Amino acid sequence: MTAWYCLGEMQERFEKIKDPVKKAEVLRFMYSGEVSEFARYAPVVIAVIGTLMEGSVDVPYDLSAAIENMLIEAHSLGLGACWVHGPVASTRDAKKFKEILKIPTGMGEYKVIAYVAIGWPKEQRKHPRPKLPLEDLVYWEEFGRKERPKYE
Amino acid sequence: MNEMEYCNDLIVRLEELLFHELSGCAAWKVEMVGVDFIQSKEIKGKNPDEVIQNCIKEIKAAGLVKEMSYAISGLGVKLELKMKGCSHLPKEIRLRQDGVKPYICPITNMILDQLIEKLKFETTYVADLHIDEKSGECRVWSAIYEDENKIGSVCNWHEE
Repeated sequence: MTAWYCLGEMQERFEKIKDPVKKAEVLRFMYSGEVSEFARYAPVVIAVIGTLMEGSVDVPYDLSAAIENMLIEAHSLGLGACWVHGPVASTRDAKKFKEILKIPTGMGEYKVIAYVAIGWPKEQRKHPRPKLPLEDLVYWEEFGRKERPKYE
Repeated sequence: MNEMEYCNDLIVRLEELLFHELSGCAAWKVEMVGVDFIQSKEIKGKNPDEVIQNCIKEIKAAGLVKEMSYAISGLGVKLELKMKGCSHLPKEIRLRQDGVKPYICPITNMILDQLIEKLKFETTYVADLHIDEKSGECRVWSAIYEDENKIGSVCNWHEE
């Protein structure tokens, strides 16, 4: 994951931070992987894995839907939950992760897609994240058409 | 039949398919592509320079790349490889023609694999590939982290 930040994109993302000390600290935080270190302190971490041996082509989608349900349920109970993908994103890291949990490491057996860290959030979100306007996301009848057609 | 041409055709299709499935994340899944060749050689070395130089010898001896050099900079976490006459260059060119930015470099994967296998580096990743079709040269930047303390090192990727 750290290479994702090394592409320079992460450095460009934080270009607007003018204070060099603050900028260096932000970059170090992002580079070091501390950004997802909260999972170390979570009381519960769920490894989400699926079998590849039963002929399903939908494993990543099924696992993703299961994670989403976990997040929604956790938040409905007043807990905090986060989908953590980075530490198992690369093939080598995923293999290491499976070794630690004694999950068979063969590429044809189980897929570990992510883990979910669950705990008590330290703070509440103060405002919703900004959203793109719906017209930028929805096309009508054909790709790129923003005007909703009028039907007789 | 030209075996390398056939091999590159296969990789192009697979690289396209995996990109279509995973987009930018596909690059994280392919670090083992190419490592079998280098693992079949008995690469030796006590430090990154020795390991990389010995890998380059084997790669060139096998005719996979004609010219190859490297540099480690950026607080020791940035590896830059320069290659000319790589046998996989036609793959990169075709991928770009098909609208996919190449993200698999089997040659770089070989070297990164040996840094991990022989020197126990904590982690390594291919970060970016630049391909110059006209000159036939490639430049590949990788992040190489000797240990977990190095992972927090920050260098200016494009300047240092």
